[in-house]
Amino acid sequence: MRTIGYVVIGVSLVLGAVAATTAYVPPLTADDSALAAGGGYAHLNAPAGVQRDAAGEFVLTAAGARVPLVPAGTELTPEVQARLRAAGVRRVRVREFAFGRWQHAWLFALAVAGLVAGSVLVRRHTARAQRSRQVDEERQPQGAPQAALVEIIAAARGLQADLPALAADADRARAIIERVGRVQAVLALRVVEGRDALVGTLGMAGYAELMDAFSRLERALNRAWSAAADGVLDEALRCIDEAVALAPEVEDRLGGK
Amino acid sequence: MRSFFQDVFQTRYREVTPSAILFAIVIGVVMNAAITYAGLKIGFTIGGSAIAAVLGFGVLRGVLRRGSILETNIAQTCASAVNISNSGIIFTVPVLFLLGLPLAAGGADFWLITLAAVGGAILGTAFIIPLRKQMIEIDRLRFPSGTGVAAILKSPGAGARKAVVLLAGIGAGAAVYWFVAADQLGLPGYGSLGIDVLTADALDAGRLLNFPPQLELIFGIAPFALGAGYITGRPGLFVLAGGILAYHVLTPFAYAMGWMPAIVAAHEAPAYGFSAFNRPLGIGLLLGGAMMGIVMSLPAIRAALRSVAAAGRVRGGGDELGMPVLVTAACLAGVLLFAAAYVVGEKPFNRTCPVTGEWVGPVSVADIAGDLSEDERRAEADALNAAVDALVTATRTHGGYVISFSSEQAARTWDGYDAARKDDYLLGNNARPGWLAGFPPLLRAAAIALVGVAWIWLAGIIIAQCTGMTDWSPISGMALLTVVLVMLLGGTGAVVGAVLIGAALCVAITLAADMMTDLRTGHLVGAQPRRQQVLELLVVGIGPLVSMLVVLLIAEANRQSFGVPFGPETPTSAPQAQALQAVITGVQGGEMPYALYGFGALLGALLGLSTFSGLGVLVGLSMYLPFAAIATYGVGCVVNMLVARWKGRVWAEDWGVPFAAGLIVGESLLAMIVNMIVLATG
Repeated sequence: MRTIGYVVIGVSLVLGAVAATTAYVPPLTADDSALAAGGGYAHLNAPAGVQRDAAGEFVLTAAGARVPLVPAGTELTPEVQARLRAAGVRRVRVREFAFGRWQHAWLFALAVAGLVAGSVLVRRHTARAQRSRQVDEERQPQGAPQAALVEIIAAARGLQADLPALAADADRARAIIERVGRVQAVLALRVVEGRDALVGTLGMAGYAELMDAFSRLERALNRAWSAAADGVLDEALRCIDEAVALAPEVEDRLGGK
Repeated sequence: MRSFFQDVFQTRYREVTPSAILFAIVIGVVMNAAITYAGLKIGFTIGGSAIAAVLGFGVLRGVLRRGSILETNIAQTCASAVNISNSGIIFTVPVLFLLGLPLAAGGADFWLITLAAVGGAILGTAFIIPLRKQMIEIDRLRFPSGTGVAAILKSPGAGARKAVVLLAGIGAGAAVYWFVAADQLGLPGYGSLGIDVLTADALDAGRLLNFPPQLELIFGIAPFALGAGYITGRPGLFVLAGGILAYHVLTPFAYAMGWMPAIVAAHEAPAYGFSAFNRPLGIGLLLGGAMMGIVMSLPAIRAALRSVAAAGRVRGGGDELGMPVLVTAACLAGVLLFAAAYVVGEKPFNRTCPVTGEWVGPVSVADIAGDLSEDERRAEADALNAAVDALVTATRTHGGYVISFSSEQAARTWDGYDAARKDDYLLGNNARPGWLAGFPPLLRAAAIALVGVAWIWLAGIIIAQCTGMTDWSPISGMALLTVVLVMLLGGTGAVVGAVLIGAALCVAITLAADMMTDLRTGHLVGAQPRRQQVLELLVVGIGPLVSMLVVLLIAEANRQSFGVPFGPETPTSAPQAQALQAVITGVQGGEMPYALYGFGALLGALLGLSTFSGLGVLVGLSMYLPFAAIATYGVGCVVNMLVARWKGRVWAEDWGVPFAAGLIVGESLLAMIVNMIVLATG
């Protein structure tokens, strides 16, 4: 159903765009009044027709461009319309828009309906998929973004606990770079990719509050990484402590409190 | 206040330091001047963050031997803030020269526009700050350049191998781009290799595959676009889809169906389709998509604002600039905008008296006709200006315009004209009354300032979203809409006012995108947002001033050498300003396809109804960009997906992103060096 929804959206977009393209290009019909606008007639917004010589070849300017029959800006009076019709011109680009002479308005309306229908199909499928994913995650929680969040918090707490045992500053810095590096490259990516699942579980507002808290923790870890890479170990350790202090708030929001 | 500065300049870990700020201002000014020149020449600009990051390492770490990752991050934040405003200026201000309106350094208009641009810079930065949480922390927009810059900043700490990968990317980017840049230096480039399908800066795959000329398939030789596409990854494919819709469906279909004028030849069809329907539809889609995106993100925006407000209550400031600071900055900038709109609105729009035909406004050298030498023209213009100054002119108001007369007698003659004759005079000078024509001047200026402020907020969000999702920012499209909006409000004759607000808005939205990109980099390296925000707000005013002076300098040099300030006859044709000029004359002539913008907006909004609210923005953006850029960007997205499938997501991120960041730096750095050489040698 999701694929069908996207196909409907894609086709509708193409049809809508094609239809819109003709909004200012009405056909030249036998009825001159079809191009009436205001007190007079619509004006050409682009040159119409093309001049040909006796042999039927295009007349060209010195620069090699084709020479129009009627220049842009001309009012499409019945005489001008007749001249263009006689030259075989079937459509003209006009300045003034009118629904009445938009030949493909129906196609645009159809496209609008298609976009709405396609969106409904996609949304319904997404909601159903989220429900089933939630059930799967309750059975196998290790693959879920929630699990990644828990792992990130565990990594921060693990670092805080393990660092005092390392004697050399270089070893501490390396431990921070490696473990926080894994958080940045693997775990944070899983959290981002699990956005839909988190929104499905917590709602948009709950997800926003969770990410607000998590981002502060994540930024503290990122700063710890930078400080460790720069060899400023005091700052790195302070940031690890800060990240650990922020963890309960993330856990609270993750639990929906 | 003391604790505020103590917090910003804290010293336990080098972050905000005088050397970083000084370096940033110097490099930002140099980049600004060089890139302003490049933008006037080729029509687009480059962001300076990546260049500043690399140079920052070189100077702060290499030369001064004490820089840290976060100090370099501050340096790149400030440098890019000083640099980035150039695109806002060069897309708008040169149009005044192209329209023949005088803009001298000593003139009030010059300083008013500069003042408005500075106001816009503060406003754009201040407005976007409260949305940092929503865009970066909650919606997790990628900001490819911001991610790339973070990879650059982290590369030394990430180990020697990653630094080598980054350097390899820089080398590859510069090597590939060299043959594009060589053209500017008069050296052999891709175009002179004698390969049929290679132009100066693109590979024409359509010609290689024998596609009909109306079906454009061109890949720009742009390592920058390739790198940005790679960092964006799979979501960037929507951009490719929009490009295919515009260039491979709409344009060839409209051509085949005879919906284009018969004078348009097949090879001209892509350019005609772009201006006639792809660009208006694309801008509409962008607007509609962005508005739907805001609606769908309301819960996140609400949560983000609550969080920012809470941060403001924390003693010492917390992570974020509090709401009062931001509201104050926004109010100040709004007042600046009001003052500029009022002063410009009170200036007479005519330069010759409607009754006597005598000069009543400033005369520029370009206004002097006849076969005269440069000195004679200047002397003539000076004499006329002195005569104008000596005139005791009178003014009248009609249709919302202030009209100047060469004498009180001429003004009384005008008073005797009937309304129809006065209207005809306005129409004859392309000055239709605007929607606010009936308002008193103060109220009109306040309304324009208010709409300007609201529009800057909305446009800032749109640009930041586009930059966050793709790295492309449709600044010229937003400038175009702004000028149209102000001309509709103030009247089609209010060109200076429209360009003034347009320049302010353009600068504002470029700064909004830049601030957000820098904050994304900051998040990835653990910088405190508050420090970046304070410093960006402190330095943003420098950029517009530098850009304006460079524009003026180039205009004067061109005028002396070629007789005109900008245009195809000069080395700096100002392509974006030419497009804006076409729009201004289009509005004055009633030729704007407003319905297409509306239909595009409806399609864009509906696209955002599905699960991905940014879809309309992505599709619209790509309909509005040249296909060559989109195609190369799309290749980058596909390469990312292939690498991820082949080596895994983590590998693609770990090793691919530094290389992609290198590609961005390689092109940007080389482009800037070449521009500086050209600027220095003329």
